[in-house]
Amino acid sequence: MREHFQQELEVVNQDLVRMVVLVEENAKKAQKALIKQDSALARQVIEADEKVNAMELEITDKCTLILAREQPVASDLRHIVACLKVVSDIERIGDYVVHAAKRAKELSDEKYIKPLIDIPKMLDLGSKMLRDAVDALIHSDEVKARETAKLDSEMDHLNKQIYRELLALMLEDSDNIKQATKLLFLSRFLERMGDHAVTICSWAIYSSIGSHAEL
Amino acid sequence: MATDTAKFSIKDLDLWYGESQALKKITFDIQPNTITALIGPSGCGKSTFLRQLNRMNDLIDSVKVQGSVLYDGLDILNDCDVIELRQKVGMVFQKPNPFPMSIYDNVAYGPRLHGLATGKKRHRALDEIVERSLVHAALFDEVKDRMHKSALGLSGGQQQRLCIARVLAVEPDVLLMDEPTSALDPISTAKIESLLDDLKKQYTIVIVTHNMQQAGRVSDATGFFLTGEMVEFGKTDDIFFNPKDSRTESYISGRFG
Repeated sequence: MREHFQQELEVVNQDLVRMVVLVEENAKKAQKALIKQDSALARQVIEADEKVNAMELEITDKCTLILAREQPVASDLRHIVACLKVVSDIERIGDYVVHAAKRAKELSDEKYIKPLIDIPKMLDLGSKMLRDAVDALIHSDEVKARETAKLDSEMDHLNKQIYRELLALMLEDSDNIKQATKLLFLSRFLERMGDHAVTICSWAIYSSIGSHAEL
Repeated sequence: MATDTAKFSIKDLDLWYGESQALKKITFDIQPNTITALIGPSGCGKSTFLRQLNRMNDLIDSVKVQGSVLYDGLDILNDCDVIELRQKVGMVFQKPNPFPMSIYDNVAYGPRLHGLATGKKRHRALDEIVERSLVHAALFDEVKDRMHKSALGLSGGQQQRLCIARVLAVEPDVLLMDEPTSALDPISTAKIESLLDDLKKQYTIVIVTHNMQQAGRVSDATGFFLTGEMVEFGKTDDIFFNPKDSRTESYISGRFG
């Protein structure tokens, strides 16, 4: 029994969870900063991203060392390769959250052209998809990975809905265009959170069954 | 895998040492010009199986065998000349075992015994066989200036390559190797491994190894033995990436054995 190796795998899993928790916390704060138009809170999120980036490198280094020293095979190998791949997706999701925080900072002094309802929903959904996708990876849960990937259609639906609403507002009054464009970009970025979560789901399936899945 | 093209076709092979059964219903094919690695914990039957391919187990009194082993379609368990078989199916052992004679005589030993170099120019012919065998075993350059010195003065890695040259000298078709690098340092191991890759162009190689990474590095196909059974046999890529049997997965991942 290679106990040391199993411990090292567990450490990588725990690190991934810590990274996800950090991104989730940032997403919650970014959401609050947007709703409350709180620029100080938005700044916290922007600053915390450095930690997310550092964790990506730290986890990459750990996985690389495990490959070099333990030479894992079969499901152990697939799991480490999957961790190496998804860590950059988690980091990208972190970047989209930062994007939301930056918009919150910019718009903190402006009156919103519409109440923010669907954009906060997208942040919640993106966080949930991220959490569930990484959970599926850690537990080699193919079913959960497939279920989580399905949530992306809801994300696409929210994005389209926001687009339609903002388009109408822009047609109504050209003064709305400046803010509406910012919100449109934000919606598009948050929609990408879902895409990266789906990619994590496909690596979870690879780790679990050894083949690439179309999701 | 089509049986008619197989170098060895093994079917329902059972083997007993007295009362205790060492091989149980082994069935699979070994393809020509491939390297097949046999892995498994100590006492699982992989070396016993290897020795059955050139009937080295005949040397043990209490052995009883059932089933069939076809070598190029020939039933070697019943219908074959064992001396001829062992010339065609050569073997290299765990510890290098050069004869206490010169490097040249070690390699020339087999050809002389089998009368491979004959006629007026037999000395020249023998020289050629010895040189060719040493070149194939990637040893010639290291020993060409001391061919008539004792083989016992060579390093462990060189001795092992000498033993490979000795097998090649009798113009075999198949090489059986029982942990050929387990007594060697990493550099010598790497030399033997790259040698194997060259040799498979001309020979069919079956290697028993305890070194999982070695099996992964050198072989085309891998068979996993456990308590006398062949648990799984398949392409090495599949066995090391996504084995079908959970016992294979546990063994190659180091969870037991």
